[in-house]
Order: sequence, then structure tokens, then C-alpha cells
Amino acid sequence: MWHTLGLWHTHPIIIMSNEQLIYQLRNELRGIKPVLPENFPATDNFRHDWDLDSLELVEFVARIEQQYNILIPDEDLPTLISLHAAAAYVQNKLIH
Amino acid sequence: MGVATPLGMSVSGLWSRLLEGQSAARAWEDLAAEGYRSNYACRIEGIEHAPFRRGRQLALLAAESAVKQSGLPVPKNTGIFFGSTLGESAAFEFAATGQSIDLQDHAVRSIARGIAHQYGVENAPTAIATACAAGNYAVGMACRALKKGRIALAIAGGAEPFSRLAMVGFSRSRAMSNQYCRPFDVNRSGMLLGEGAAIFMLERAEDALARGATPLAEVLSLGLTCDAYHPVAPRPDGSGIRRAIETALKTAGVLPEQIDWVNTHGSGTKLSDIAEAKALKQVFGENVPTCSGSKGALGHALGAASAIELALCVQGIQAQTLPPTPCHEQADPECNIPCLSSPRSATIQYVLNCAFAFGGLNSALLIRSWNV
Repeated sequence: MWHTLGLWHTHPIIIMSNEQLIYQLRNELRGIKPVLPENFPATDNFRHDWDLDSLELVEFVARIEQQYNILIPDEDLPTLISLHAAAAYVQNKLIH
Repeated sequence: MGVATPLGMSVSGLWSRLLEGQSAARAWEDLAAEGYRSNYACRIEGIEHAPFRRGRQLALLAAESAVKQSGLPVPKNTGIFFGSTLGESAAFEFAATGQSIDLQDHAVRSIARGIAHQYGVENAPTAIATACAAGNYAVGMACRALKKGRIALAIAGGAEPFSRLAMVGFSRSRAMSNQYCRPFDVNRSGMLLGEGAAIFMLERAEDALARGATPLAEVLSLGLTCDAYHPVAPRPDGSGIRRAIETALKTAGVLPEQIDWVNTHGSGTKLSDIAEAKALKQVFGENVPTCSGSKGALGHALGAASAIELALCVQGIQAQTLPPTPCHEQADPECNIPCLSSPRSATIQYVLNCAFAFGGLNSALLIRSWNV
């Protein structure tokens, strides 16, 4: 019965809205760079709009890896250009 | 001089393996088990030491060889100039677990004091925590003290025990290669961590000659600058590095075209190698001398790196041989640094030993063969 209903999972899936995820990621990034405004837009580009440097960004990525228990390979780093992009990436990793 | 490195515990052993292009880099089961992103490193096996005293043991092993080779007694007023990063990093790692340990007793100065104690030196030793450039700093400071006549003999160098703190830091900041360090190579992907020590006996030339000794090499000058740019990234235009090299040349009254060989910092990271390459081109124009880098062979030994590499410079002068750059296979056209794939005999007089540390600390030590 459980198989038929599709309720059998081999590992837990974290269910979180995109808003919640962006909220968490924004807090994480503000922990690294406190000068960032409390509600800076999720579509703002980390480098161009807020001048985050490579060290701040790799720290952000390291914290994402730890927080959500995912591994982010080097080749995916350039895609994480904003909170919005980072959230989409994390959601995708969590589902798969 | 004396060394303790992953490719040998003697200068001759290290040199012959370097000339063969060997690399000490390999995978380590304990690092894999501890979950590091990369488990490749260059480490020394079979070193016994007291708990949290690996750095001191490496320094003492190198010092023992240096003192023995010099044939000199070590007077009580010898100057000791010693460089490292943290000192006994294992102690800091232990403290990070919440356990109690006296970190002051395990910092860089503790290793310098260990050398002083071993040889009955009563002068307060000088400890220099400038990490990747510390060896150059130590030798430069020793030379200054000798020139001023404050001391007649100096023991100078650097040591660094393998540091998990550094593994985490470099790994986390994505500066570390998954497998090999490839200086100035188009396929380079970062640094590898190493460990080791190198120690030198230094004295004024006239004193060495007066007792009938033949110096291994002569230290001419040390150029130091600070980028004042970023905690870890070098100035992209290489200007800080350029000024350090130019300072060394100008202080010694040596022209760029007189340089026969540059031992590069060559850490194998994308940014650092490019900045160094730009600086070398700015100093030497189209005629960059033959360059070498040993971090593909030995990893980055942090506080010991520039000291170990200085030992290689001195040995190269002795052997009149330019060494290859292990793990450099395909030159990056953006760097275009002339590295060798095999050893080459050459007339070597003037050699630059370049080393750059976090915090934008740039050092260029200029040495010369003695029989000039």
C-alpha cells in the first residue's frame, strides 16, 4: 500500500519554500558580510551589485554545503551569482 | 645547511630526486577518512616526536645537519632566526576541540626556543610568523644582525609540521588541487599542502674566510613589500611582487640581465601564478631567466617553503645545475614562464628566491655563488 501511494522514501527530503530558502541563504551571506542590507533583493548579482570577492563567495558556498549537506563542485561555482540562483541550485540538489 | 622534506632528509637526497622530476604528492588514507575534499598531500613519514612537537623535531633534524656540515661550534651568543606559520599547528587543532593546552608554548617562538635550547644558545631567538615567506625573512634578518656586528654566527630557517588547519582553510577556499600541484601549467588547479624544514648556518664572509671555510653561497639582499590589497589574493597586476624583486636587485646593485635563475613561488593556483608571471615579465621584459618551482615535488610547506627552496637554490649553485619543475607539463601561455622538464647544466652566479605569503607579503632573496 505504501509503495502504491508513493510514500516510501529511501532518504528524507527537506521540504522548504523558495522564500524560506532565500531567507536562510541571505542570513548566511549577511553573516559573512554584515554590511549587506537586511532585505537586499534576491536577484542582485553578488559581485556586480555588492562587490563580494572570491573569498567571501567560497565561504558562502562552504556554508551552503555544510548547512544542506550537499557537495558543490568547482565547475558549478560560477552559476551561483545571486540568492535566487543559489536557492534554485540548492533546491535542485536537494531534490536529486 | 640541512633539510627535512617529503623527498629526503638530506640536501643531496632531495636534490637528486628533484632532478629526476619526482613528486612526493600522493593520496593519504587518513585524510580521505577525515573527509577532506582532496586527500593528496606531501608528508614526511617515520618522524617520531613528542606530542604537539612535530615542528620542533623537523627543525632540529634540519639544524643538526646544518651544524654538522658547518663543522662549527655553536656559541652561546648565536643569533637564531626562525620562521613558520602557526608553529605547532596540531596544538591549535587540539585547542579547537575544546581541550586545554598552552598555545603560547606551541607558537612559532616555541620552535625557535627549542633550537636555542638544543645548542645552549642564550640569546633570545627571533620568531617570524610570516608563513610562506618566513624562511626568506629569517635569513634576511640573520644577515642584517651579522652585518651590524651584533652576532658572529646565525642559525636561520623555517619549519612547518603538516597542518590540518591549513588543509581545511585551503580546501574550503577552493585553493587546493585534487591531485597534483602544477606550477604555471595550463591545467593547474591549485596548491597541495606539504611540510618540512630547512636550516642554514650564516656568518660574515670575512669570518668564514679567516677560518679557511668555503661558503656555499653568499646572501646579497632581501627585497620585501606588502601588497596592502587583500587578505589572501595577490595584487592581480603583480606590482607588489615586482617591487620586491626590484628592491632586491637595486639593494645589491645587480641588473636584471645578470640573474641566471629564478626560483619561483609557483604555488600552482590560478591567480598567484599569473600575478607572479606578470611581475617577472615586468622586471625582466622578454628575457625572463630560467625559472623553477618545487611545489609540484614537495607541496607547499608554508613556513618552511622558502627556506627549503633556498636550500635548493644553494645546491643548484653548488652543482651549477638548473633543476626541472616537477608536474609542470604544459606551459600556460598566459603565464609563459620558462620552466625546464629536465635538469640543465649552466653557469649560475645570481639566483633569486621568491616567496609570497598571505597578507600580500612579498619577498625576494638574492644570492650569489661564492667563487665570483
